[in-house]
Amino acid sequence: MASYKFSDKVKASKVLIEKAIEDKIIFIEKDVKCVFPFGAAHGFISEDKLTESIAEFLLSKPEYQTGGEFEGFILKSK
Amino acid sequence: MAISYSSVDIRGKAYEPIVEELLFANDTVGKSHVAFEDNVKAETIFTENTNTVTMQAYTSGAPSSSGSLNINDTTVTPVKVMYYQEFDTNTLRPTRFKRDMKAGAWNIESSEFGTKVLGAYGNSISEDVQAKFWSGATSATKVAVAALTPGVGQASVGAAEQTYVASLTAGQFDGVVTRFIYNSGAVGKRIKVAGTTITSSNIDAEYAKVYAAIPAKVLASNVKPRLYVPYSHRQLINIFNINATYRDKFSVTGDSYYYLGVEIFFEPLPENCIIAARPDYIVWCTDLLSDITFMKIDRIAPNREDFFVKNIMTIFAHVLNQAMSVLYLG
Repeated sequence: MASYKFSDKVKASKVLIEKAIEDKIIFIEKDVKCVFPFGAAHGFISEDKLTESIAEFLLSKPEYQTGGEFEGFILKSK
Repeated sequence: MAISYSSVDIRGKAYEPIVEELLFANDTVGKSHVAFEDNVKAETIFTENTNTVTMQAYTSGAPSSSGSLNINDTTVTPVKVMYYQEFDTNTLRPTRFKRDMKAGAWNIESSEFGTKVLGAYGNSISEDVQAKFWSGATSATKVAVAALTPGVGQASVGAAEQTYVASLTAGQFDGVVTRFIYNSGAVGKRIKVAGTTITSSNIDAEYAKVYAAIPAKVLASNVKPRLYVPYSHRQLINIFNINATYRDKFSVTGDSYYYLGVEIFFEPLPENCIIAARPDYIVWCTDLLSDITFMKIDRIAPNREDFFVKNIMTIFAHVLNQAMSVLYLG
């Protein structure tokens, strides 16, 4: 089964992530290497969320293909 | 928490208007873009009924029962949420806000701060709750959708749908888009249309896919369906129309936009997402609608001079008759 990763072209962006502190969940801003398939205000896909089906969906979009804005952002892991 | 204020000690005049951040108005509530069900404290039942009938040859003997009467109940309990912030007006003493503080060391309340800054805080709450009504997912839903195998069939979660839910930071309740994708422990019954990245060039073709998927009986019904689309589509539509050779494919009258007679409503939706649904099939459930705009401001304790601002509300995004609604996501 193929697995995927981000290339060095993907930059870190400030996003909200969950952090558990004792029995509470708080949200903190952190720099995370990620892409925004649905716009910056509607979630992000970081490398740990990059399943095979998500990666193949992203690669099917024109912006991730040859000549697209995000060409070379997602690579198959060797 | 102290007020985060890059201030300048006031010596002369201040430019009177405080430049506020530009926020989207909560038109979902303010202009009734969807249906509302208030007075929902807990366990309100929404009942959906679908029936099938079978014409059969007459017989004077014992008839055979044929067809079905289907009733499905969903109980909805809005989630109770709050916005809470503490602030210390003592930090405002050397700033522009001291101008309307009364004399005396005890008096550190500024009505300008209250009306302008805290008023803007209230507008931020309204914008945020609208955004989450449309676009959000709980941890439990994220885990459930991540465990599904995506497929092209209607009964399967789409690859775009799974990616969307995975991308969201976990929130307090599932938004409208998530509810269409997954609810009541199963993939939603929406009419799924696989999409792509929408640009000003292909927006007409992609809207045509959504329009074609709307059930004919919905277009013919007495409550007309609407197209709910991201804010960015207003610009994409205008650019498309400007570039169109002979006629506008999208009708624009004042601030109203239409595609083939179906009115378009701009919402805080994810990019490359279009929902076609009757407005009475998308329900904002709450205890009291005006809770969105009610804020309590008071001292944190009687023996302290710092304050809190707090907003409490209950909210739930419910979608009815999903089989009659279209979700396009790309």
